Amino acid sequence: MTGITPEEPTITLKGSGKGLRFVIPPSLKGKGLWEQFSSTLDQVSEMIRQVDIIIDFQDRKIETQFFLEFLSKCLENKVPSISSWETSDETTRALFRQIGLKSGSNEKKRPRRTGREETLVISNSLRSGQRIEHDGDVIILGHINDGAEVLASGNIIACGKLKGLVHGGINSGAENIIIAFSLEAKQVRLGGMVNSSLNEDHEWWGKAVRISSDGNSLRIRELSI
Amino acid sequence: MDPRVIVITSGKGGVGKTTSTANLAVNLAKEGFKVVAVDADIGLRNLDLVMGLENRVVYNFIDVIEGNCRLKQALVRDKRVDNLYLLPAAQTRTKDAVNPKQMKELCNELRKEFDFILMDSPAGIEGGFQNAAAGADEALVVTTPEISAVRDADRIIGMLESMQKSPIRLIINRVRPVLIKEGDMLDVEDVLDVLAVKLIGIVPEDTSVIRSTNSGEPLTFGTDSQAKNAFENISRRIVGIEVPFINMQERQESSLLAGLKRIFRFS
Repeated sequence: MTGITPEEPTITLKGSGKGLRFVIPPSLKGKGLWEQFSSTLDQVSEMIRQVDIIIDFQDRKIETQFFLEFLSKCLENKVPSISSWETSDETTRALFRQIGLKSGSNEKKRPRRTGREETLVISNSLRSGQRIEHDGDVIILGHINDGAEVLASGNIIACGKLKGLVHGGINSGAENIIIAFSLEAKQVRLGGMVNSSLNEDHEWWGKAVRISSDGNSLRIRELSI
Repeated sequence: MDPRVIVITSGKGGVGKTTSTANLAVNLAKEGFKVVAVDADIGLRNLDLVMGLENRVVYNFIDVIEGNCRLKQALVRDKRVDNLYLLPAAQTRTKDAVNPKQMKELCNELRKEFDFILMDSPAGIEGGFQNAAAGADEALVVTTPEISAVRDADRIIGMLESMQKSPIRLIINRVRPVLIKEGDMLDVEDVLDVLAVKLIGIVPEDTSVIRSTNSGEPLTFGTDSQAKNAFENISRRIVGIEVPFINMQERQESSLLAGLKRIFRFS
């Protein structure tokens, strides 16, 4: 009987602004893990002396014995230093904290409403490629051009043409709104909802609008400005 | 006048940076300035072809930076116009052959000899563009009135602003009034509304440009054409001469009228 041989899990390397990330899949275990780890280190032996190294265990649950063996492999392979240990497993994170390691989550950080945030006012248009991420409300006194992004935990007001991507109410509820003096974007996001069916056929296209959520979908209402 | 280093860039490829560089260089030289056009597109050089000087390239600016030759040996003099030179790129190297610091030093050397240094930037926003813009004081951004080109131009303008290049001015290239009238092409106001920089020129779509680039004869050396006149006007504006912008619609209608007159043999 033929069958599909499942792919062997592999350690992957990812470059980022923070350094070189070793992503170690939880399904890679035992002898295979140590052999792959050693051979990967060997392949990048020159590079690891020049960049920061981040070890990303993903959601692997790590126990002390495993961690000690991992550290001994690092010493064996002359790993110079490790700048960050990443995990999305809470137990593992607690272990790292306990032994005083610098650790981070490998989940993307998003702004969260804390009730203490200020309103950010940007007094010019945002150009393509520019990105604002803010914990609070954001007011743009200009256009949000196609290719620009605004992410906020609160409300977003675009006092110009909204052509770029806005995401308001990140990590908060349905009480936030987005206002644009001229809606010309193909997609808007509010809270956990996305509307990606915006186009010129809608009667409010190119007009001032208020975007809110009713809990199930986004509502777009024309404003008289 | 202090020497001026101008980077000609766009973000998007194929919108007319090299054509603009070549034609502006020729026009500025004809105005009496000493001009060098620098091809900063390492690995994909084209400025030598568009200027019709490809057979005279011996050294390139990488050779100058690496000390393989003197600057004067790498400069190719255009014999058709006094005081016009080309500094070619290397075709067999890649963009990581130089860094921004080296490009700044090269520009500082060129400032000692030239009134205008025009840097023909490669497309993109990565190292090639960074190198081309490093030594520049000001920028000309070339776009066509198409949404993808405008978005890329917006990106590049944002980067030039963060690099504190000033002034940053816009050339809108390959404009087709008929398509604008039919609503199939962005009009000049739409482009300026997005990019929000000063306009320095509008160049209409013109078949003479294709003939010119393929033959290596910049428009200035050819017969009168709309694109030729547009580049002449842009070079005058670069040196501070006020030249009114021609209404594309009027130009379209007058050429249509002239065509009708010709067909019906009216004088």
